Amino acid sequence: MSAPPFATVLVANRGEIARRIFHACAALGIRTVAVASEPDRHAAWHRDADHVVPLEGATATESYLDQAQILTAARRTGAEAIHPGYGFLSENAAFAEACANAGIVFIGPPIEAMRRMGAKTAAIELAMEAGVPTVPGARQDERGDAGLREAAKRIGYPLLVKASAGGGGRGMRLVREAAELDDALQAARAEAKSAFGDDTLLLERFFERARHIEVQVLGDQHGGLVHLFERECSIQRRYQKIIEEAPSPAVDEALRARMTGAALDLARAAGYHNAGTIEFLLDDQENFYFLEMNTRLQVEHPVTEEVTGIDLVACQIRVAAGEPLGFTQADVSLRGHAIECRLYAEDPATGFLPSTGRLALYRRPHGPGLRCDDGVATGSIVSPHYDPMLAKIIAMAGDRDAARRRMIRALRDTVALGVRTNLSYLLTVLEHPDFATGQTYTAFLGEHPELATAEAEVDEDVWLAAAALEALGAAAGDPATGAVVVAAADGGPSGDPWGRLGRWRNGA
Amino acid sequence: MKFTLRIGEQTRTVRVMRAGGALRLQFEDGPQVELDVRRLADGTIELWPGPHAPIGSVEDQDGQGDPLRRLRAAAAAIGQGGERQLWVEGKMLRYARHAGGAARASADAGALSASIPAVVLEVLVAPGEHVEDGQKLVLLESMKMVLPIQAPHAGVVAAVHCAVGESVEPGVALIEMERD
Repeated sequence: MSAPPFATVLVANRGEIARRIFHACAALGIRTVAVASEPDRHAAWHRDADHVVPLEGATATESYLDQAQILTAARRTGAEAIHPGYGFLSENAAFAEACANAGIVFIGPPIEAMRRMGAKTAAIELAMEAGVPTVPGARQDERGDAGLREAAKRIGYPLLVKASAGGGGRGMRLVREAAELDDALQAARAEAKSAFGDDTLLLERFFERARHIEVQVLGDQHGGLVHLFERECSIQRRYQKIIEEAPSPAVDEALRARMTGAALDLARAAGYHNAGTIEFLLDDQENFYFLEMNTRLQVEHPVTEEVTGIDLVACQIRVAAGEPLGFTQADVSLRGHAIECRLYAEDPATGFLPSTGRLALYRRPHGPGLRCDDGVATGSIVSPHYDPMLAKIIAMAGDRDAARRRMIRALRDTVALGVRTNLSYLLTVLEHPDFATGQTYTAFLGEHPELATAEAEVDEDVWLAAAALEALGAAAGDPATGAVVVAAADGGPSGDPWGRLGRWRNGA
Repeated sequence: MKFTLRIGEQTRTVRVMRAGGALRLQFEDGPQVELDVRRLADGTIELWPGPHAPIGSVEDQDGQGDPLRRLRAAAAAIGQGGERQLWVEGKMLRYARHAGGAARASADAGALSASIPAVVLEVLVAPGEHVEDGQKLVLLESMKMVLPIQAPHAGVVAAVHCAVGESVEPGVALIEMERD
């Protein structure tokens, strides 16, 4: 076997993605270094790293975004490269530059490509130059609200107000008519200012029956560049993806050829290498429009890995070390179908408010055709400082419906208690006839608000289970009974469920 | 042991007896069921039909007795006040065990607080300031979201108990207001 691409890699991230990268490194024979903020000292995800360096601070800004602390940790542990994961410093060109200056490889695209594609306006200009269709909109904000009001007349309604520096739905507003525009501009500016320190806005035409389709590209530093087909990520709540799949049920061979061709044209024009994603909006007439390019690994990369058999993280590391991809477009093929669900600590019934606290009980699903990328364990603390995603559950099978049924089974097998989660919500969506038939549009969740508050049927099983759990004092994390999971009796036939009888209380 | 469970709008009282190694559950309004219980290392439990076959029956979807079924379940306390999250064979619900007249601490009438742990992003008002109904008083940030605390009515800000950058816990007063 050839030598590892690097001897030591530091992962400047947390949670499931940090763990995912540790595993890729382990497979390549690379020593791994984790960094852990103060609230993450007792987290489960960094147990899979060879070394853990504590970071000072609790908030993201004080810890995982603190470039100086991360670089110091890399230097002290002899890390030759830093993998930024997604979020945090992953799209920060200044950090990539600081790494280069410190003689450390930033596992990502060239700094120039990050800069260019990171600024939405510059990215759209490049797409236009490369002949890639773009969404009608206004990308100039020099004249402030007055200029945007005029542009809105030209673009027409409905339209989206977006933060130029934005992402993840922050600083974004949907405006259905002219009368709503002023309020939306004001709110988006305030949100953009507080979230990104930059209140530059842009406007975009909004399509009602649209799908979010993105193309994964992967390139090396020797001119090798391939696409790994598309993903569909239309199921979003507040512009946050929650269910993704590959391939898209709406993309046939001809459309796939057009979209992947456009993605490669753009990646080439940007001088891109490493992994990147080109996001498109697909309307119901098979027209597609470039939205933005993500110059990093995506949360939903596993679905692409499952349908291509390519380890994206391993490829990222290898090409960052200067290795060639080692395969060409002709070697890449699409097999079967994969669906990913994001398990979030949030309450769909209260408008997806994040839920924090102790994950009193967690059991991941397992079985054939299932993959679970998670960063939590029973007892993990879900803190308000970071993204509330607990796990990604990925199901794959020969075709879409088989993958969907596998996913339903996996979600039913997942236990996550102690914080409110979107688990039931995900199940409801997977079981919805529109999802089952591939009628997945970005407006899906907004058009089905009843799914967020759907209540499970209370049958006799439910009463029996609740009564038995109470009788045993077996509710995890209950201060009244003192039942904690680590103290639970052994599950074997000789396990004594009465071991805790002394703590029973007399109920009303 | 006897206690009352509430699930949604329904309330049922159940009497629990230990019968050898099994649990005998007697719902006031229903059948008596005998179950073997196994606690698994992952924190879930399994309910099995009891050693003497169920008294009454565990009804399945057809309303037929189905004594051979195993039921998997788990629960965890959530929030204060005896509320539980319940997982039963892939189904998620919530129930409460009747706490027996424990009064819930009522929030101070004029005090406004965060509903979830958060970080104070901006304090938009000062003590003595008059505010309108619905006016934003404090902006909080929690897990990528900006959450405003708004005035529930018009009035005067009596006190501000938080500062920018501070981490705040749910239920702790951030702003006190006096109604007009």
